[in-house]
Amino acid sequence: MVNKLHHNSLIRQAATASILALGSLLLGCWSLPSAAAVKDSPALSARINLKVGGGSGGTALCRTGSGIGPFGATLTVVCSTGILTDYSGGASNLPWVTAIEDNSFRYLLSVFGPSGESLGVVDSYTGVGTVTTWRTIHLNHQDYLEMTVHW
Amino acid sequence: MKSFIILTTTLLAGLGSLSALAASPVNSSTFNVTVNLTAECTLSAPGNVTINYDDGVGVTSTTASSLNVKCTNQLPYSVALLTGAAAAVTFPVTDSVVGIAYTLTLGAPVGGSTGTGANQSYTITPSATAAQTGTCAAPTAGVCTNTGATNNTYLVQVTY
Repeated sequence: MVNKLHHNSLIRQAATASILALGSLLLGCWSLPSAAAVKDSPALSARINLKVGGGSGGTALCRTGSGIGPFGATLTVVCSTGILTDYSGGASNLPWVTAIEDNSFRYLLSVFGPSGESLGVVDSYTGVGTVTTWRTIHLNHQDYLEMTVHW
Repeated sequence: MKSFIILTTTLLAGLGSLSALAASPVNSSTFNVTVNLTAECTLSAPGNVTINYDDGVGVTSTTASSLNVKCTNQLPYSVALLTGAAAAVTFPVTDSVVGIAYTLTLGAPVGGSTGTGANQSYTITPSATAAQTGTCAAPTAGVCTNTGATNNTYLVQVTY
């Protein structure tokens, strides 16, 4: 009888220990911070459509000081093609308009002296596809205008 | 006599059942139900974003993107744009092909950054500053695109 009681006591102790161990394990799992998970979406792209030519509607204004009226003739050149699309004002004093219509660009350079006085203009034109660079060179108290044309 | 025999038989059968019942022990025990809930977030596929830019002038139009994030109810989470190894909510970058600097911004979701079990929408909005002069070596109909750019691919990453 005593042995049976002792045996039952041992069983109860073992059961109690198991329950406590299981409880501790569950509490431990509950308190442990879970590792952060990440998920990524499918890829997306940023597309950029860069419209070149500039200006409003891809055109630029070209002006001349030798035309009619205070503002001369106004020419509109489509920058992407270099084609003259329109000009206003009379063209009788503008013989170079023909050159413009042949898809040539007109460059009008106003030259000013060191004191701001106007020294005149350099009036010239070049064809489509021509790259022209201008620079002024000050040498020996003189200003030189250098124009380089590539075609 | 016959009735007496039937009655006796019935009584004996009843007594037999009673004794059988008395001899069968009834055992019962309790059991627990365990529910393991795995909290998670899912994302839908976002569309591409587009910037139409007039060289030397500025942005003429943009197309934003959107996606849905769905997380387990009450689960806190955060989202960010990811490109390469970098993650941020706002991402400035200069495109490697056309040279236009732009920014992608991941908008705040409706309802905050805690899961509700339902879709929560996010927007990805592109923007660019004005008067940029980009790079365009071979335009087609006056337009250069950033096809082949090495830095224009993004992911949206959710962390929970």
